[in-house]
Amino acid sequence: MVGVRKYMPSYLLMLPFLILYLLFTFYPIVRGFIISLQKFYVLGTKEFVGLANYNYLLHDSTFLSSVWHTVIFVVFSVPLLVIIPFCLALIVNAPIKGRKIYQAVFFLPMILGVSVVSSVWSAMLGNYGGLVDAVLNAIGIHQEINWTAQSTQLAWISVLAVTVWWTAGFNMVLYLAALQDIPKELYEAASLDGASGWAKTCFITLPSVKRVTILVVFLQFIASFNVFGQIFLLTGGGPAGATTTIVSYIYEKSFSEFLFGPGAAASYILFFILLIVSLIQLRLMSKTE
Amino acid sequence: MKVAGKTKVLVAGVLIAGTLATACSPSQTQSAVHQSGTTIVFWDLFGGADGTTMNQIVKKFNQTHPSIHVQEETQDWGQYYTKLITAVLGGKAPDLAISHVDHIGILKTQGVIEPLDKEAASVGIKWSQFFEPPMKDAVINGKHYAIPLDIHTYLLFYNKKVLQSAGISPSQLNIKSYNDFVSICDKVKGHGYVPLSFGESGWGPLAIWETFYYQMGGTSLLNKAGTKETFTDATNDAVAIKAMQKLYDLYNTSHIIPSNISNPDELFKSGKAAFCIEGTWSVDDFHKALGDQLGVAQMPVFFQQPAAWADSHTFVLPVNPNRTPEQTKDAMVFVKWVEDHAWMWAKAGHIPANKTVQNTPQFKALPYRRNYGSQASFVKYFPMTGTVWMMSDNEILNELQGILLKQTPVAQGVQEMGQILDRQLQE
Repeated sequence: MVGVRKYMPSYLLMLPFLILYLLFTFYPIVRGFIISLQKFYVLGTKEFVGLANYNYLLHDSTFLSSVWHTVIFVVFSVPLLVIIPFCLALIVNAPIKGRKIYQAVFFLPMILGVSVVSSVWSAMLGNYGGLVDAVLNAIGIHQEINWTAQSTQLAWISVLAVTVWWTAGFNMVLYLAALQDIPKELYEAASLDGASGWAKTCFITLPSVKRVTILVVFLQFIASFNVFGQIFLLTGGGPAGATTTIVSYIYEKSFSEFLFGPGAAASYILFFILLIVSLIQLRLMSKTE
Repeated sequence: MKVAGKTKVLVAGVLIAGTLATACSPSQTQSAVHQSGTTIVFWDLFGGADGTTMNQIVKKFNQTHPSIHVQEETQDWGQYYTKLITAVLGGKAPDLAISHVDHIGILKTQGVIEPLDKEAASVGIKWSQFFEPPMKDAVINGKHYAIPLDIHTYLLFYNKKVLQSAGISPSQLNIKSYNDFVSICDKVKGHGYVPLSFGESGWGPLAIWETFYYQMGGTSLLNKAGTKETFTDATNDAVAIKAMQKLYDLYNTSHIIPSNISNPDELFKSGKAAFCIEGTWSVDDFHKALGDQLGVAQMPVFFQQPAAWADSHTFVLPVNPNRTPEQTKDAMVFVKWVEDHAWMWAKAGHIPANKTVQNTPQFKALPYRRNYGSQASFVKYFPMTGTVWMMSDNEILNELQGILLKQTPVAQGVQEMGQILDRQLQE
C-alpha cells in the first residue's frame, strides 16, 4: 500500500491511457476473437460455430492468394526498406554541405498521411496526363502506361516504389541515431592503421548497427505484413485482385460483404503470423545482448 | 523543480478530467438544436453535381417549410452502406436515407430498413406515378421498402469537334449496330484521337457486359428466387459469352477502348476522345468542360433490342426506434415535396423516377435531358438479392478484369463468374 501511495501521481497519470487502452485496444482484441468463432450478423443472430470460419478461410482461394501477395510484398519491401534507409543514413551522416536539408527532405514524406501520398502518386502514375508518363513521352517513349492498373508487375512496382518513397525516412532516422552513437575513436584508430573508407564501413559501421538492423527488419516485417492503405487507394487491390493483401481481404470481408466471422478469423491468422515473427525477433535480440 | 505531492495529484486529476471531457463531448452537428419544429436527419451518398443539387433541394425545402428542418448529412460513396449499417447498429440511425434500389434487398436482410407503405400513403405518394423498372425492386414480399427518386443510366457522350475533324457529321450520327460503332471509331482512331474513353476496372465494364447481354436477348441474370444465376444455363450461356466476347474485343481486338485509361472522364473532358460512355450524373460536368461541343445520346442499340444499364436512388426509412411518428411523417412530407419537385433533381442529370415531372416546363428547359428521357423505358438493373450486390462485388469484378486483361479465356471467365455468384448467393 505504501508503494501505491508513493506512486499515486504516476498511477493517476497512467490511468487515462489505461482506460482508453482497455476500452479501445484490449476489449476489441477479445471481442474480435469471439467474433472469429461466430456466424456473426451485425443486427441479426450471433451463432457459435467453433473453427468453421478458420476452415472457410483455408478453403477460400481469395484468402490464400491474399496471404501469398502479402508474402511477396514483405519479401520485396523489407530488404528495400532496410538497405535504402541505411544508405540514406550514411549520406546524411557524412560531413557534407547541407546535410540537415537532406535529412529533412528524406524524412519529409513520412509526415504525410496515406491518403495524401496515394492521391499525389495516383495522379503522377496515371496515363493521359500523369507526370511519369509525360516524362517518358518527353524522352521519346511514346506509350500511355497506367502504372497502377496495367499489369500485375507494374502495379506491384508502383506500390513498392510509393511505399519506399513514403516510409524510408523513418528507418533512416533509426539508422542515423545508431550511426551517431558509434564512437569517433574507432574511425580515428582505423584511419591511423590505414583502413580505407570501404573497410571502415564494413568492419566498424556495419557491426555497430547490428542491433538496430534487427529492430528495423522486424519493425518493417510487421509494417509490411499490415500493408493496406496505399494499396487500397492506389490499385484498389487490382488489377484483377493481384494486389489484394491480408488486411485488404479483412476489410473486404468485414465491411463490404459484412461477413464479420471470416474477417475476424483472418485478422487472427495475421495476428498469429506477426506473433511468431515477434517471438523470433525477441530471441534474436536477446542473443545479441 | 520540486512540486508538492498534492499539486502533482491535482495536475494529474486535471489531465484526466480533460481527457474524459474531450472523449465524451458530443460532436457539433448532433448538438445543433433547432428552436422550433422537428429535425429530420437525412443521409445520402451524393458527391459532385449530385451533392450540390441535393444541397440546393434541401435548402429550398427548409426555406419553404419553417416547421421542419431537414439536416442533410453526406457520407462517402464507397463507405456509405458500411456506415449506414453501423449507424443503425449503434443506435445513431438517420431518420431518412438514400439507397440504391438494387441494394435494398441486402439492407432488408441486415435489418436496416423498414417497410413504408402506410407512411408513403399518408402523404399521398402514389406508386403509379413512378416508372416501372425501379418499382419492381422497391417491393419485397408485397411491401414497399423504397420510394424511387431517379433513374441514372449509362449514356453515349460524344465530342462534336472530334467527330467533325474525323470527317463524321455529328448531326447525322446514327449508330445502328455494334459494327457501325466500331467502324466510326476506327475512322476516329485514324485521326489520332481516342475512340472511346472508358475504364477497364471497377463496375463499368460489368455494366456494359450486362447491357450487351440484354441487348442480345439474354433473360434475367438470376432465377426468380434470387438463389442461382441463370446466365450460364443452356438458354443464356451462348449469349453471355458472346456479350463478353464483344466487350473483350473493344479492349483487345478492335482497340476501340485503349487499355487502362486511368481517368476516362478527364480524358474525355480534355477533348482528346470522340466518345465516352458515362452516367447521367456527368451531363453537366461534361457540358461545363466541352460546352456546345458536347453531344449526348441514348445508349445505342448495338444488337437486337434496346437495353441499358441503370440504377435508381431511392428514399428508405432506416430502422430507428428514436424516430417519433411526427418525425416519420415530416420525413415523408420532405420525400413527397422532393418527388413533386423532382425536376430540380434532374439538374444533376438523372431521369426523375416520377414520370409526371417529364412534362413540366422546368424539366423541358434543361439542356440535353430530352435526348435521353425515354431511355427510362428500357433500362436494366443488376439483380437485387438479399446478399449480393454485383456492382461492388470484388470477386466478380476481379474475375471480369482478369478476362479483359487476357488472364482468363472469355468462356471460362463467364463460367467462373457464374460459379462465384452461385457460391455467394448460398453464403
